[in-house]
Amino acid sequence: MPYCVKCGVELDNSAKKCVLCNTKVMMELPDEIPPYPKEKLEISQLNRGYFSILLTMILLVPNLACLVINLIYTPGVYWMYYVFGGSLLLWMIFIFPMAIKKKRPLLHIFLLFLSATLYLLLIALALSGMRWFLLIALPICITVMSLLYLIILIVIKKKPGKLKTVSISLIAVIIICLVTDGVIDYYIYSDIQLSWSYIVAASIIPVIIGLVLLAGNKKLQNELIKKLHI
Amino acid sequence: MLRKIEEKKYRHWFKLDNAAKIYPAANTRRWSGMFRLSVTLNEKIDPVILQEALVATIKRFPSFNIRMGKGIFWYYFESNIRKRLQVKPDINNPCAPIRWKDNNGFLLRVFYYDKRIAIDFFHSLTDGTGAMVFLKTLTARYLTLKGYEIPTGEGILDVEEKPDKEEYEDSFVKYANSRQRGRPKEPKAYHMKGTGLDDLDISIITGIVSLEKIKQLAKEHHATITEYLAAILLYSFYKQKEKEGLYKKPTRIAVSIPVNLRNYFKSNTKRNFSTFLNPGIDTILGEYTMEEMLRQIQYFMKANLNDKVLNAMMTQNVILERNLFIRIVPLFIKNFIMSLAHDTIGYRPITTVISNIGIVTVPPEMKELVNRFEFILGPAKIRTPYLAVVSYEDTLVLNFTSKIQETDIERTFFTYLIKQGIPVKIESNRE
Repeated sequence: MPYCVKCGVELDNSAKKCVLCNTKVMMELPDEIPPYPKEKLEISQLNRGYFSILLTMILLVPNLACLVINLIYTPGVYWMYYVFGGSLLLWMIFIFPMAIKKKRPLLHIFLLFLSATLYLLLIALALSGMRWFLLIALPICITVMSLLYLIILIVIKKKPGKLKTVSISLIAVIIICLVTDGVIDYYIYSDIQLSWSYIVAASIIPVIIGLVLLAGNKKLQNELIKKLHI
Repeated sequence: MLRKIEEKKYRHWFKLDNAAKIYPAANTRRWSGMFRLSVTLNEKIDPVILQEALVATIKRFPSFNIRMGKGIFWYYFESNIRKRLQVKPDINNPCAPIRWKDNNGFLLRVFYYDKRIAIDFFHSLTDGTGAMVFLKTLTARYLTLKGYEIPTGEGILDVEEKPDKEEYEDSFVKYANSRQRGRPKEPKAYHMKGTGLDDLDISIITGIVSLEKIKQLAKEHHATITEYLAAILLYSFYKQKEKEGLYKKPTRIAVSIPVNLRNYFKSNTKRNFSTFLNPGIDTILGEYTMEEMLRQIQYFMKANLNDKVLNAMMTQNVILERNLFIRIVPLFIKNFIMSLAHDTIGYRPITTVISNIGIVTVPPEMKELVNRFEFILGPAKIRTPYLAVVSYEDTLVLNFTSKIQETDIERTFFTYLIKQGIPVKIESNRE
């Protein structure tokens, strides 16, 4: 009979270590039947695949209805685009993550970007607004997508703390502001003269610097929590 | 044809009792209100004979031979005669969550492993006392089929006998008649911190000690076994709280102790008929010794363990379910509200649970064949170990269940017993 040298409890003959303190059992004992088997009961999971198909079907109903109405009552004017593009976007945001088993945020973002861009493109086509699509919508979409992509990649791979994640996100906000400001300027004046994004950047940058400094200083964090806790 | 007639004869449904109602609402993919009773015999279990014994036994228990049904306003139990409950090889994660459709709809699972017969019960079905009758009857039936002569009595029912109506009555409704309204507010209790295990995993740490020695020790302190063990458990959480900060809020440490209401009201039901008392200490008042904690528990139990207080407690629950405004709320809304209430206010006044089924007795013919009984509570939704106790002959089995990696509470508890001169044997399902 083995005993744990640290806790003083008697252990089962099949035990390799004491479960209370993780001290290894030094005694060599013949293999015995352990108190519990290794197999676990798997619980049948809700089949989310079926659920997503059901939701897709429901989403298809207004689309088909609108298509029919569009074709019969207003042939020639294709407002169907809006409904279709909107549904696609909805599907990508809510139903797609349900349909796939594993969480795949990067793929999800890419598909979201595609469907959002497509939606905007459809609107642009319907309103013959290719200019604003190419000059404003597309660049902003690409920027937002690539920034999100980068942030998620960094968070997954590098696992920065909360503070660093916030600072990275704030940097992304600045870049989005700069790009938006730039493309709008270019759209209106055909020339880039940033007007308001400096102000945003100027007010956010000190916050970022503060956060980065704070992230590297445990003592300061502790002091702040001590002083500011509610 | 015969089956059809039989089904018609027995096909009945009944309402969930008062204590049972919370569990289906609080049920999730990761958690079910379960508990396990098991018996270890002196010989290897034969699954074929066990299956035969199970088929005979479950017919005798109409409140176990059921499946969960969903109405517009409430869940209900419906006779499940057509399907068969299968015995299965045991698993590493007892009290794993249950789904209504799995397991042929039955709300209990019967397992065998080496010399052990184990049953996982969904708590809506019954409480520890009712479940123990089922386990003992099943074991007796199994042994009879093996060729031993086992008489009935000592909590073993005759499987040939027709079930008595009293056995599946809702005793809460029958006895709850207190005029008291409202209940004293219990302060928020401390919940320990811990690192969670994987969804499917559960940590079971079993301590086996001598009943006589514990009895003697409790007697020296003029306490019952439950009170004494509850005090050691409270002490273990007190030590944990010391590490996390004795004066950090919430400062109350409370141990919930289920009370078998059959001891106070004349009932023979095999369904739920228990409530619980939550004695404890408040560390804001200062440091406590083990002796002082034991006194606090004892005084609390002495003051509250009587039919008047217990009746008032169960009446508060029963009038809630009798309220017309609550009754007409559709089930899905009720589910949402009840699960929310279970996860928040349910755990609010308690730090942990200690449940003692007491001493199990069997007929003398069975004593030679049975090694020990075991009782395991399903894990808490919060991260805290629960303790389940059952004794048989001179073996007292203490089972800690939790969903956390740390074993500090268990270690403090068992090393305390060792310091009192009581040898402890440890078993576990952990690697």
